[in-house]
Amino acid sequence: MKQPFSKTMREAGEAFLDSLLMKNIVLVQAVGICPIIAIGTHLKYGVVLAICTALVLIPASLFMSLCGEKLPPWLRAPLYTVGAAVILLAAAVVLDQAVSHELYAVLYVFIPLMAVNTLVSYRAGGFSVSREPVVALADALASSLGFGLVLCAVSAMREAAAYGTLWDIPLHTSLTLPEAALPYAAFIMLGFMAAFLQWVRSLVARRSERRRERGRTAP
Amino acid sequence: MMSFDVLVALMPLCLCSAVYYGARPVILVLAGMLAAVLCETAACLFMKRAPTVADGSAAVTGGIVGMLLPPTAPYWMPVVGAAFAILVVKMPMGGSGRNLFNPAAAGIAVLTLCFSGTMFRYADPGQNVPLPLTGTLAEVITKTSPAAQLMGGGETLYTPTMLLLGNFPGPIGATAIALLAACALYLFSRRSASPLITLSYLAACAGMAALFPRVAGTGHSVLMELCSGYLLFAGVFLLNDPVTAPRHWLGRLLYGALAGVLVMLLRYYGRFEEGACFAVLLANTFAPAIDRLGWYLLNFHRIRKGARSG
Repeated sequence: MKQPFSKTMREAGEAFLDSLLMKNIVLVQAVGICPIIAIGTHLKYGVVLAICTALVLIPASLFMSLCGEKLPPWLRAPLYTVGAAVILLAAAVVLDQAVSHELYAVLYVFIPLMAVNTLVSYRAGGFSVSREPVVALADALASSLGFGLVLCAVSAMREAAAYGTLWDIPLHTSLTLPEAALPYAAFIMLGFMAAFLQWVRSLVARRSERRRERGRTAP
Repeated sequence: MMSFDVLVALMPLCLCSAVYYGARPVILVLAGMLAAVLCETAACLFMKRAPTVADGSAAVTGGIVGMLLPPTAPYWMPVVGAAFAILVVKMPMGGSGRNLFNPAAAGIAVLTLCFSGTMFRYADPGQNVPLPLTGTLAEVITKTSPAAQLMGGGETLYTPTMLLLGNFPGPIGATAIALLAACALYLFSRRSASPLITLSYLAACAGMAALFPRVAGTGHSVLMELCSGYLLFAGVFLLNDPVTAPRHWLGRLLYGALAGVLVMLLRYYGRFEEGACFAVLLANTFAPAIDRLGWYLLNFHRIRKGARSG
């Protein structure tokens, strides 16, 4: 399957925008909600987890688009899961030794769990197979960025509301609500963010519809 | 109109509380109502819809949130609870008639989670002194409520007469058990509440209380569990919300029983002395499935016959 380079690039651009904003992986496709609910309580945790996701998702997607079709379907999932687990193991060691032992002490359960997150199996195992490597790379980048954006937004809001700090710097707010760190608060935030995104999408769809109609009536 | 019947039924409960605590509970309930009505109007304006305040459901929601607060609650508490109920639980789902969860129960649940210290700080009604309307409430004499006593597992101080007359510490509108029963009968007679839901709920609660008593004596255990906290109030006012309850009679029976079992489990194993609002929310989650289950059970023979012939 060989197609012109410009078409591939347009496809890559579309995949990037789709996965990042218009069909945001968390808010529209509802994938990867569990880590956001469970540990999106501090901005630091959110950033670390977003980096780990990108570290896993980008190689897995690239690998699957390069040789996914040559592998039998039953072998694909074990391969990229084991690969992701190896990467995450290395990332955990780096986090523990070089970055911060305290962060590792909080996140050590959740980092290996990213290997079996639906985010990876859905994008790498589903989308990337049978796509050009450029498209798969764009999609993986945008998926990790979109996931990271939502995760960081939720964890920043929850940290500010629950502990009155941001990146462990006190904000000097007079009122803190420790209950914002409970799971239900994250569900409510995600719901409102998803509703807001749907509203934006409906605006965009209406505008493009109007433009198409104008194009049709004009000679 | 259903909502106005509920408002009429809430009124005597509020007045009864005023006898014990002075004007403060009335102000709390009115604050909740006002906040709910204002929030719903604002949300309707924001969504560019005709305001739906006239159906009275917002006032009922705010009133119930106010009624389930302790009389010592600060005035901002019913406002926060009602605003959460309307702006987060009711309007985003599509407004009147489309909410998945009972807004009042959700408002109370959030207040319980966030301010559990204030929510269960009940004033002693036996003092016969009106609560101060402004200023600090630190000097108000508080007392352990029956629900807290059941949870602590100590001796119970309350006689059946005290329980029936509402002469025990508890939420504003949920203590006068005799009056609450009269309000329930009024709502049943006006067909604004379903006796099926309330009775199966109470039967399930009583059954749980009789089987697993927390105080000595089966009869005493049943009476104490049914009268303490706001268990009865939840069965009459929260579970009978026409939007979130099942429509079918068998579904209603199962729904009430499920809520009753959940309430008692939350009391036995939960963090708080009263978890009826959480039980109502959980039962709301299952309501559509229960409705379908009831329909399926009743039409089982017809479905089987249709499958065989077709």
